[in-house]
Amino acid sequence: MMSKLIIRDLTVEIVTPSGPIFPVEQFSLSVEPGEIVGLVGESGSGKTMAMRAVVGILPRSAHIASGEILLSDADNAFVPSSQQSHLRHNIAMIFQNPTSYLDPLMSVGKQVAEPLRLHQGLTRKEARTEAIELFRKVGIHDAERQFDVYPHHFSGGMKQRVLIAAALACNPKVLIADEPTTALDVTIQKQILELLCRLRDETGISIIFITHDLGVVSQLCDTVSVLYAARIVESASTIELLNAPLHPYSLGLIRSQPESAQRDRPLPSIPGQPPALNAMPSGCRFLPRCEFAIQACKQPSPPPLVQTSAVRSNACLRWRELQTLGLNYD
Amino acid sequence: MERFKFILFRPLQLLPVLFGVSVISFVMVRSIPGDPVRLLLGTRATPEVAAKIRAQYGLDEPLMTQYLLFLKNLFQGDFGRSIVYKTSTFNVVAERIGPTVFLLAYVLVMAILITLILSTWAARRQGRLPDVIVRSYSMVGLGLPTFWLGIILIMQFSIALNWFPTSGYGESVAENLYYLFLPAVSITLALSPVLIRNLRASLISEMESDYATAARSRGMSENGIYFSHVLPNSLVPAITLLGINFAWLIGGTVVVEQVFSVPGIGQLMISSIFARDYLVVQLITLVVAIAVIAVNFIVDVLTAVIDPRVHL
Repeated sequence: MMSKLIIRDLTVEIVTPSGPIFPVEQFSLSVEPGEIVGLVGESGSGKTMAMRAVVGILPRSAHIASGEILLSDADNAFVPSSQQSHLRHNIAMIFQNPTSYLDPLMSVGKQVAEPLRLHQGLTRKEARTEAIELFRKVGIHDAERQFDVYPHHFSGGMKQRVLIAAALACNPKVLIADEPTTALDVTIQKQILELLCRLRDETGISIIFITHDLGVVSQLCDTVSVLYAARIVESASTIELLNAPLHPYSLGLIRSQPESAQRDRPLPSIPGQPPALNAMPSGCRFLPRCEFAIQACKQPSPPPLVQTSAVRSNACLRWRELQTLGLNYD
Repeated sequence: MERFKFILFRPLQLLPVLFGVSVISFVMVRSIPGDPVRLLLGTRATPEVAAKIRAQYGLDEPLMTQYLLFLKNLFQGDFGRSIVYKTSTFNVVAERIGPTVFLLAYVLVMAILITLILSTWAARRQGRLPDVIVRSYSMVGLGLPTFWLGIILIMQFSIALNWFPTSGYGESVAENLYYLFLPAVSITLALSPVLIRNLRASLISEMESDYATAARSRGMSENGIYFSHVLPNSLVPAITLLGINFAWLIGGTVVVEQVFSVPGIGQLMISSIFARDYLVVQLITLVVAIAVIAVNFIVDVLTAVIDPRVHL
């Protein structure tokens, strides 16, 4: 069964002694059944925090200040986020560093069997059979024997497969993959990406893929949202965004790709640093680093994300002009 | 297989340690000023009688000869005779070891239960009232001397309220539980703060660990996560700490047995030191050394059972 996920105006708040900060602001995203959505942005831009809010695993200090998270059920009706338990196992998550996300004292099989017993009410024996089946599905060879092995005997890639199996054990509608390949080497990275694609094709699961790597986005994702300083600045289909970015920050990201660099010239980068959460500039947050900034960008509140076409939205005041400039890689 | 080998061969490591302990205790107890024979006979005995008794117990030999004789007898299962009790030291110690073992077991059970309950209570409600209470308890408890606590408990619960006996030891298990309640409480109150602080801190950090977050993302309840992931991961450091504190715990029983007049080997140790009953002191030292090593051996095995990454 497939589901559509809608996240609307999600804001996450952290109360600090010097006042509240907002690591995620007015985050909106919709994920169609079977779609792979990319979420890109620099470290600290709020990608992970937004997704943790969706799964319901925010750190103790943070909470959802406003917004809704809706997931369509069998009747295509949307269930609101107040029903957390419903969401928690319908939206599963895999993580960047598979080693620390597995309990070192429990065999890998048991960690996959645990959610099976919990959500499907399987007996120990049934859960074991089912977990071994999931191991096969995520490409763990000799699954039967590996069930009783402890995580420290597994390589990073294998641990990530275990985490994926554990996530699938919840029978989720949406899988959130938080930089699942960053800690892995390139060949393993490719295998994990292929695995995720295959799972999507076989089960129709939707995937939200958090990454730094636009190369991965271009291979994997149907649509992309770009985050900058807690806000989405641009959302578009992958092809459109990579070929014709309409936000200066997206453009900067694409230009800084090592693949698009020219020989014998320094690797282009976006000058400056992203702002700290407790020292956000007024107006457009990218303004201090933006080569296209004008006086109007300094308005008191950040420019809202506006729908620029049926499938695109953008938070740059000058997106029309940028469009006519015909921005490209140079 | 490796685990099996460890359990089989580790006790062999006892031998060098025990040898060292025997040498040190032998030398130290004899370097205390004073003469056991004089203490035994008083000042009125004739030098001839004193010399006779000294010869009887081999105390007139050079120290080296005395030690070798002690070792030789030890290997024949003879621990020597107590100069005070006029009987085999083995019997003297065996007769008095019961109350101490009972007290230690009592304290261990009490301390482990209290630690588990209070740490869990505090960690699950971090920063809230239960946590504040438990943290204050462990802070205050760390600063209370055991002997003082014992005296306060006697004054309050034995003399003022008359709930418990001031001293002594019972005949049956039920009676012992009653007689040794205050002694056990006073040691537990001193021992548990360290354990609670440690376990509470590990529980809190394990609750915020990545694998607990991952389990939470799979919809597991906090209770489920606590019992199947957080607690096992926190137990390893807690058990190690308990093992390290075991030697301290025996020291605590020596003091508490004195305060509550419990007829255990702690009290025997002190009276034997005063009487310069060398062989009894040496035997008790050996017994305590074996107990400490045995407990740490058990801790090692338990750690390996809980944590698959630990190889023995």
